Order: sequence, then structure tokens, then C-alpha cells
Amino acid sequence: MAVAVVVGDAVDAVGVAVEASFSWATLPCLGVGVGFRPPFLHDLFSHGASIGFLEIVADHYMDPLPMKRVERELLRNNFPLIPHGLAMSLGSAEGLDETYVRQFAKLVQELNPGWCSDHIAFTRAGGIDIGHLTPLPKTRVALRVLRDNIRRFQESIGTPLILENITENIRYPEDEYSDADFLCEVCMQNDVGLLLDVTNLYINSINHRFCATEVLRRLPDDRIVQLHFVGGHIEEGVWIDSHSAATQQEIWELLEEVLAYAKVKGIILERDEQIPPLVDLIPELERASGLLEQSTTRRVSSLGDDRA
Amino acid sequence: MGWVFDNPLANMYGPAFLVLFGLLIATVVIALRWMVVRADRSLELEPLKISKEVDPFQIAFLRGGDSEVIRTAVVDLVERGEIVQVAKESGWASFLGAKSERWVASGGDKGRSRPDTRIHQIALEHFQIPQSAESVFSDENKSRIHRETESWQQWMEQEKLIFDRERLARVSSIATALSVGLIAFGVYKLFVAILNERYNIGFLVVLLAFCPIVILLSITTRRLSKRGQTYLRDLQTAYRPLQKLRQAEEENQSTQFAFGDVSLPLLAMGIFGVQALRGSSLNPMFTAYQASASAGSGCGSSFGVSHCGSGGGGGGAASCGGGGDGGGGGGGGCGGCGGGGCGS
Repeated sequence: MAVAVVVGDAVDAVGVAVEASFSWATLPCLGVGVGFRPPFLHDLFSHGASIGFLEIVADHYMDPLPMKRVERELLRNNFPLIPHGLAMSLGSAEGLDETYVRQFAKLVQELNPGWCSDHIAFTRAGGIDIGHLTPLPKTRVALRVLRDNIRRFQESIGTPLILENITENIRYPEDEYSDADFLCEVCMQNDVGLLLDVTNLYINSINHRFCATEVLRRLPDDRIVQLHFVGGHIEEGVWIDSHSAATQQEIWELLEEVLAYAKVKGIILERDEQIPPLVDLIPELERASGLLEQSTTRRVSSLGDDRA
Repeated sequence: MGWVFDNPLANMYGPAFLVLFGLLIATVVIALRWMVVRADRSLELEPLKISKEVDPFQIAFLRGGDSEVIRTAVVDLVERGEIVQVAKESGWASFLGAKSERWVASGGDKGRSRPDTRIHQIALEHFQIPQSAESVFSDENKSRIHRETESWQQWMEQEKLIFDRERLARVSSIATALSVGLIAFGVYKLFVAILNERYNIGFLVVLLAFCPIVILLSITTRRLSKRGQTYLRDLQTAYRPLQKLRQAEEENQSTQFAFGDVSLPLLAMGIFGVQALRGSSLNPMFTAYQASASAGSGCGSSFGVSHCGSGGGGGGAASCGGGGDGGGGGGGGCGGCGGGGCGS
């Protein structure tokens, strides 16, 4: 397992060498936190000790109203913040929305985060905002589009970028790669890390009948920087990524596997529907903290054994 | 000695002298302002994080000094039932009695188990006999409270949440010296003009009156440093729902904001001041302190060795609460003066 890796040159599907000189291992370890939602605001300060960092939805704080700006400053002054974009639409063949890129870059500059994140998806097509994270076909063409857009985005920001795997309600017949191969290619062809959404990986594995562990084992462990987790629900036999429930045991087990496999820098508990008071999420946060601590301890002791 | 009244300055043509004098004032004002801004080194530090345990009295002190601490203690005691409103008198007694509502120590509490602090005791002792709410801001009480808050003052200065008193005192001394120098310079020219039987000195007189006012304004600064302002703003943002205590009470948010022994009204009072109590169960306290809070709790102009404003309008020597605002108002009156140039 790579603990400190300097990514070498990789060759992408169209034969272009991608130079990478950045060591993902040097990113700060932020611990466990929550995806910030406004109802959590007042509770954050009485439970600060349980929260290592916050992930904020970048789109809500780009060019904000004065009240939102003050809120952003409050959060920035009290917690490490990671901006998480929703609408960069890195998979759009038409390219990126330059205004959005500029605003995102400005936010990143103001927050100076350890890293920033978005999704392996598209949210815009033909100039129309779909308003939904839509999966990409797993093809070489899609990889090329992603590569061009990621490069354009990275020209504007000086902060490491990590990309999230999304849930996929549909599969394209023209898919050329498996889930694992596609994620590997995205990471290796571009200088990006992985925001592995454990819940999404689990839900996709159930809904599309593949083994989540097998996919995990094929991912580049040194690129798995951050995790997302949350509970979903089942509707007519299909798992829905509703971000609406406490994390199910199966997802906890997969999270534990991921932590054993990769040295992650941060874990975020998401909640978007049926948002409970923050105090009700503390047990989940503490459980995740415990797992992260255990995995770190195991890693350190195995390193000691190797040396001995 | 003839050179005293016969030199380039004394012989300078009036309008030219006015321009020179105006430029000197402007230079001094800019230099002093720069010194005041430079005195705030707080932005070199990271913003202060909000601690898990919030002390409403400490925040009240940050917000408005000793007066706000007294006010917060009284509100807390009223909320606990240890100070109660004296029942309104009727008939002749009402006609002859004091106009403002009076408050008195009840000798008991509602059963809460929060420990009394020295600050509570001072407030409680004051209300052993029925008194108006504002009477608590006596100089004696303020100086007793100040002994209790001195450590907070030091901590806040160390943390650069408030301006360093010594640094501001230095700026104030320099400002005074420069102000005296400028006035002496102007008065000299005025004297020369009168000696030469030139009486078109209106503009010079205006400038002389204007000079100390703008110098005073240039060194006027908020009591809180930028770091202090950021910290207070962060607190007020974090606890925004308490800004309207009535609403928070209706929504029964007491559990959400529970911090050990700190009650919802006490937290609201500490962070937002008496305005937060409007329409709440403590509305009588809002009514009682509304005027004094708006007069003093702003704590606007504080320089030199002065402290924050007196809430009750007691106006001790160390207070400068609304005083700065008054000075500013005076400055605005200089506009309409006219007349010819100053005699040379």
C-alpha cells in the first residue's frame, strides 16, 4: 500500500503523457466532519470537538449575499473548510461555464482549503442546466472530455482537486470501461484525487449487481483522499441515494474496508433530507472517527512491524 | 524682536496662509488616522475561535464594557426571580412616586441552581431597596464591577480583541500635542492679522474651531479591534436566532442552545444586548434599559485611557460612551461660515 507516493507519468488512452509532480500524501489530515447545512449552524459550536472539518457546498457561497458571506466567514474562522462543487459539469462536452469557473476559483482563493472537490458527472448539456448530477458514459471520449475540462479548471485553481463518484440510475450501452477502470483512468489521466462516496459505491454495487470490494481493490489507494457516507433508502427494491437516513450497517462495513485499504485524509457525513439536529448525528461522527483512528493505528503498527 | 511680526509667515497673503493651514491640518489628520489604524495589529493573528463554553458576561463585556456586564447581571437576576418589579402604586402614591418602574431584590429565586458571581452580588446588593433599573449604573457600582472585569480587559488586550490602552494613550498624547501646536500656529497668524488691523479673519477662525474637532475625530476609533469585531460578529452570526428572544422562546429552542447553566435569555442578553429582549418574557427589562442601552452600549469612541460608555448615563470621568458622538455633531456645525480672506 502506498503511503507516500509521488505520482509518476501516466499515459492516457489517447497517448498523451500526463505529468504529475504532486504528492497526495502531503495533504492535511482533517479527520471527520459534516457536510454543512444551515440548520447545523448554531449547534456546531457546542459540538465543535466532534467536528474536524466542514464541507460546504461551493455553489452556495460563490458571489454570496451579505448574510451568506458573514456565515462563510464564521465557518472559515472556526473550522477547516472544503468547498464541494455541484455544478461544474466536468463531463460536459461543450466545456465549462467560464463564469462558474471564475467564481469557484475566487472562492477557493478566499478559503485556501486543503483541497476542493466536484463530481464525475455532467449537469449541463446544450446550454441547459439539467439540475441533476448525471452519470457519464464510461468511454474514451468521455475521458477525453473530462481531461480537457479538468485541465481548464485546474488552470484556474491552485488547489488539489478531487472528484466524487456518483450514483448511477442508468448504464449506457456504449460503456467501454468497468466502474473501477473508469475511476482509475480518471485519476491516472488527470492529476486528481478521488472523493470516494462509500454510499454511492455501495448503492451502485447493489443496484447494478457488482462487488463493491472488488471495485475498491482496483482503485489507486493513494488517490482516495476523502470519503462521503450517509444512509439511503430502498424504494421498490432499488436503493436510493436520498441522504435521508442514518448510515446502514452494510455501508459502515464498506467504509471500514475502505479505511483499511486507503489512508484517507477526511470523512464527511452528508445529510440533505430529514435533517436531524446535529446532536443526533454525533454518534455517527464518533463512530467514523473511531474507525479512522483504528485504521491509522493499524497502519502505524504495521509500519513498525515492517521496520522490525 | 521685530522678526516675530515681520517674517514670511506673518507677511503671508491670507488665502495662501489658509491653504497652508488647511494642508497642515489635513496632514496631521491623515498621520494620526494612520497611527490609529496601525495601532490595530490584531489582523496579524488568526481569528479567535468560538469556544464550546460561552460566557455571556465576558461577551457582554466585550460588546459594551462594564455597563453591559451590570445590565446582563440584572437581567439574569430578573430572569431568575431574584429581582422583581415593584408593584405599581395607585392613587396619590402613584402621583407622587417615581415615574420609572422600580425593582427590588426578592430574597428568593425561581429555583434555578446557577451560582452567584460577585457581579450578581453587586447588582443584588444595589436592589436591596426599590430602585429604578438605570440607577444600578452608579459610579460606585461601576468601579466595583470594574475590579471584577479587569482580568477580562487584560485578556482581551492580550488577545488583541480590544485596543491596547497604552498604545491608544500614546496616540492620544501625540494628537493633543499636535492639536495644541496647530492651534498656536493659527492663533499666531490671527494675532498678527488683528495687530495689522485686518479683520477679515472669518475663515481662519472657522479653521481654528474645526482643527481640534477633526483631530479628535481622526483618533476616534471603536473600542474593539478588527479581531474583536470579527469575533463578536461571528458570535452574533452563530447565535442569530437569539437576536429575537421572543421568537426563540416560541420555537422552544432552549434545548438547542443549552450550555450548562447558561439560560436562553442570559445568552441572548450577553451576545446581543437588551434589544434581544424586546417582546420576550423579559420585555420589562427591555423597556427599562432601552434608552440607556442605546445611549451607552455602542461604546463607539474610545481612545486614550477612557473606557466604554456608561449605560445609565452616569457619565463618570472614565466614560466616553455617547460623548464622541456629541463631538462629531459639533463638528458638523462649522459649515456655513464665510467672509473674506484672512488679513496678512
